[in-house]
Amino acid sequence: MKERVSHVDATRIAGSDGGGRTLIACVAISFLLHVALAVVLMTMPALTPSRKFIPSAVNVSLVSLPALGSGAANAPAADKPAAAATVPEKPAVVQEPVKPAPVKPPPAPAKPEAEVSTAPAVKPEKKKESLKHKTFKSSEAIKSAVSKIEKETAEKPQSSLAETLDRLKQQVEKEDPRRKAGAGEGTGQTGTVFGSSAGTGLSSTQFRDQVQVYQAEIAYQVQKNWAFSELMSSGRTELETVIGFKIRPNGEIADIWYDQRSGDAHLDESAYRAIVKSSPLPPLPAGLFKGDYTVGIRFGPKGIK
Amino acid sequence: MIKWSGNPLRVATVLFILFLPAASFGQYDLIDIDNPFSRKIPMAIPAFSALNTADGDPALMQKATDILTKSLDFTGFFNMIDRGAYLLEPGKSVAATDQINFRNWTTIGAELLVTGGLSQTGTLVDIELRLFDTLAGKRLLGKRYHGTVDDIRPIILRFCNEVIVQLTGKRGIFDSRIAFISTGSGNKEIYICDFDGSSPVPFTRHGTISLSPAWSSDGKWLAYTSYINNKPDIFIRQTEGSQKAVVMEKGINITPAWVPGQFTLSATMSFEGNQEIYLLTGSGKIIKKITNNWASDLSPSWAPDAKMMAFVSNRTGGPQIYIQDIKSGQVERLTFEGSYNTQPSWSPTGDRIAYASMAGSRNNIFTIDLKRRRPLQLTQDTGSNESPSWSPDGSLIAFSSTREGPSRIYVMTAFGADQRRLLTMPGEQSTPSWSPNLSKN
Repeated sequence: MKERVSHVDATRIAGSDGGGRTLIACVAISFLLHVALAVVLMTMPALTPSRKFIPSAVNVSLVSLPALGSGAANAPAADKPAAAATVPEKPAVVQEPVKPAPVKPPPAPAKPEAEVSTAPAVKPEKKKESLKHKTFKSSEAIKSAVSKIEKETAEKPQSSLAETLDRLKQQVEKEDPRRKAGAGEGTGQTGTVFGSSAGTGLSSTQFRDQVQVYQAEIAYQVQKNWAFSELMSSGRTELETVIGFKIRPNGEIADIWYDQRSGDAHLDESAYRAIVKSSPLPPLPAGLFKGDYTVGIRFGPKGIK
Repeated sequence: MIKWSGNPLRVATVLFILFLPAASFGQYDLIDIDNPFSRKIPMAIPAFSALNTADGDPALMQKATDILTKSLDFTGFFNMIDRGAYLLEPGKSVAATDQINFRNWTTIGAELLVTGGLSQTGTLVDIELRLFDTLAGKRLLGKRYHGTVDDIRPIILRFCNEVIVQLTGKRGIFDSRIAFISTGSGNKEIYICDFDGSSPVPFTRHGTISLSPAWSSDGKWLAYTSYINNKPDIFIRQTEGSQKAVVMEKGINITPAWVPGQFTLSATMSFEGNQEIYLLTGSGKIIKKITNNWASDLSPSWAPDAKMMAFVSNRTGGPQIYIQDIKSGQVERLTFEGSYNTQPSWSPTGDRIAYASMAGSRNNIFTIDLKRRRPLQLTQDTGSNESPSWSPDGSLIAFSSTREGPSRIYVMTAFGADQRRLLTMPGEQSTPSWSPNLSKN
């Protein structure tokens, strides 16, 4: 830029005999700059911010469900902090309580760790006094953390099923706005089922909750058994198949029928097979339904997620 | 209840009737499921058994079993259940009959079962193949074939095609072949192999550079670029036959692409100075100019209905993919993400276009759906991946990749899953071109 200015000045000085040449020079420079700008604009392709690319789809074969494994994996992890807890009982060594920190399993509360590890780093001059105090505290904290983890580990296998059902229940509720709307209407939604709630002694909300829990179980079972390949279908995503079926009190699936075919043979058949494979379902909750429970499932693959 | 009824009850009844269809389907609760647990169908294929009491040749049985399993597995549709899980008496095979204990197969999770039987007399073989739906407990297909020992592969592939037609209503890929470039001989020559990479044979022996093979939609012709005359010209040759034609206009003649259902092709030529795409007859005569722009236009790829053509142009700077309506001549830019998008390949299903997008010095394969115009990245962090080409049913994509060092041909599903090498040959392989289905029936 500087050069150009001086060049213009130079022309001005040189061309002191007439303003015409200065003007021509100015116009020429301006023209060149415009051309340069236009060229830059035209040849720079990626001025638009590049959006993040969608990651590709990946196939994962599940060998077994993780439920059992996770319980077992936690057990040895719980042993480690127990061993770590014995360390601070040694006459307080500055670094000791810090070391076991990385060995700790993630569920351990982070707070006591942070106290211990920051102390020596931030205030090294107060080491003796505060450390004794804090180490003492930390050993207690670790102990309590360990007992907490042990408790959690002991509880885990039981809670996982309940958690799963809870999650599924929420999912089912979330995914079906119609159901919610229907539930608001009360009588309309539950159809054949609602009639029998009078005899159960449950309030209508309790009854609805129980039905939804059972529906979540059905959804979980059938979804687990549904094998459908987008590659084999016509590839359209708005496909929908509705299959109705009856569940006997013992959980056995009795009748299966199509209420709406998608027009895609592979989807229709894969959905039918998923229901066949899901029999028997868990037995119907006692006292909830009169006789068989009739339910429908709408299969609508949403494509690769 | 009835006592205070009157009007409110009537209103309630009306509401009930109004909301009933929306809330439930038919007369029951409706549960929505939209996410299949498995995206492949579990299938079991026990080893072939002897058709008659006389023992068949175990090696032949093994060969037949392998061809059947590998061919069906290649589609990416099925999850082949490990033979170790089969509930069989040790050393016994499943008899090739309709008497199947389906419970043995449903227990291990198989939804489909394919059984094969084979008997051999001299060089002649009889092969029986069946497809069962294990859950419904019924046979979906049953075929008996007669041929020579050399026919085992064609027989089994023919049955595989029937299986796919039965399950999807569409033709499979088992009659298709793949043309590609290999440098094995020291020059870039065109080779052709089966859909699964088996039996590659050289197609050109020009001893120079040959590039961009393109199949006509009836599979009878192959057009390609070659430097026989020390400049790129287009050669059009029968795949089985001796007819040929050459397009050797002044300048370059490159990237041929056949128009679906017609004996015409499009290609990039520069005899008028600028690189434009022209329409040619199958014998190499120029019909008309398709693109007309100051920039370079090249790499045409046609929609299956031949109404639209995708191509690459640098009219806005870097190369991007454009689509042109052939009738109206209207051009639309398709790709806006990435600064270097080339090699469009229109899916045979018509709804997606695969292309290569370069970032840094590496290409990756993307597809873009024509409805929502959203790119989907199929390859990532595995060398440079380019030259996508669709299988005739649109379920698989062949491409070349440098993920193992030298460039080789790989295959993946249309969504990027199951990426695997197609074949191993001396030299480097590139620019695969998947043929249409080639069988006559």
